[in-house]
Amino acid sequence: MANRVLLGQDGSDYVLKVSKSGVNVLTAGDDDLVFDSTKPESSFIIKTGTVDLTTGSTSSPPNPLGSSAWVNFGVTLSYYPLVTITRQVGSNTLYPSPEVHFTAGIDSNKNGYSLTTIQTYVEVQASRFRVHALGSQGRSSIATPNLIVSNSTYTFDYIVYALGGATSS
Amino acid sequence: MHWEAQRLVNMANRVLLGKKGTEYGLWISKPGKDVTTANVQDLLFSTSSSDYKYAQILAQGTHTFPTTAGSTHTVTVPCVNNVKPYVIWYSIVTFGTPAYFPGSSLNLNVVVNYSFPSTNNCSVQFYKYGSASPTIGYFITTGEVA
Repeated sequence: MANRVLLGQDGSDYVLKVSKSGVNVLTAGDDDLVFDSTKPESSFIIKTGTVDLTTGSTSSPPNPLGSSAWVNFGVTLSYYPLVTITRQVGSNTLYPSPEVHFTAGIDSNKNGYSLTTIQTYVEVQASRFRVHALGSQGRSSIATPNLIVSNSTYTFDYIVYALGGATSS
Repeated sequence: MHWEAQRLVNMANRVLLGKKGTEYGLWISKPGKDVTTANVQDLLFSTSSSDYKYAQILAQGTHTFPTTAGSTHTVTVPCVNNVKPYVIWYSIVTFGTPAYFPGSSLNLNVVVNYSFPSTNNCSVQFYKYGSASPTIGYFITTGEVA
């Protein structure tokens, strides 16, 4: 198909390759391919959705502010897959994760000069993941809205990629 | 099974286009894995489930924000029927050698705002807080998360 898709033999290998628009798949380099079955990994997604996290009443570091329920992949993998999350912040606004926010006042033990970061991260196992919101100390002069605070519920979009089984060389 | 109906293309057991079990589709296994027996963890592509998708990259690039607080950078990508794409960004910081930090770094917060100027287009706006002049890299992919 106009030298854009190669399904079949390529040298001594049998492959599926798709080149970028305007590039001949038969001569394309790695950076000009949209898909290449000879590579050990791809951006194959096995699950997407949303998950809620409700924070607790304790917000002092290093206690986690809260954790979501476990989200099952529906299959047990032989590796820990890549899971990415973004936090929904109102209509059509997202905070890609890992996010770090800075605010004053959560931990004021150091004469009010100590600022606190709020971090979200993903705990991944072979068959499931969950989201944590964690308080920890840091410093910044930047103030941002929509911080994660105690006793609230937040929604995260997530994507689980079947990515992580390859051995780097 | 009639050969026309089966229409199986099985090349070195890495790519299967046609019938697998009772369904028709496309399956591609990771190197060293037999596509006819591979589990989902060993696949690069599969059409077996409506949950399965492929994150095609719609746009990628870098942008350096000016020092003005609240400055923005907007990228418009195709998104059929206004389904939100998925955004991955990272900050690029130079300490002699460029280093890459996933998500927010110590002096940078970026918010992603979506808008839909038309049914099949989506504008992704990166909004920067603070007065630093950071450089970010980003990927915008198909996502169909929600």
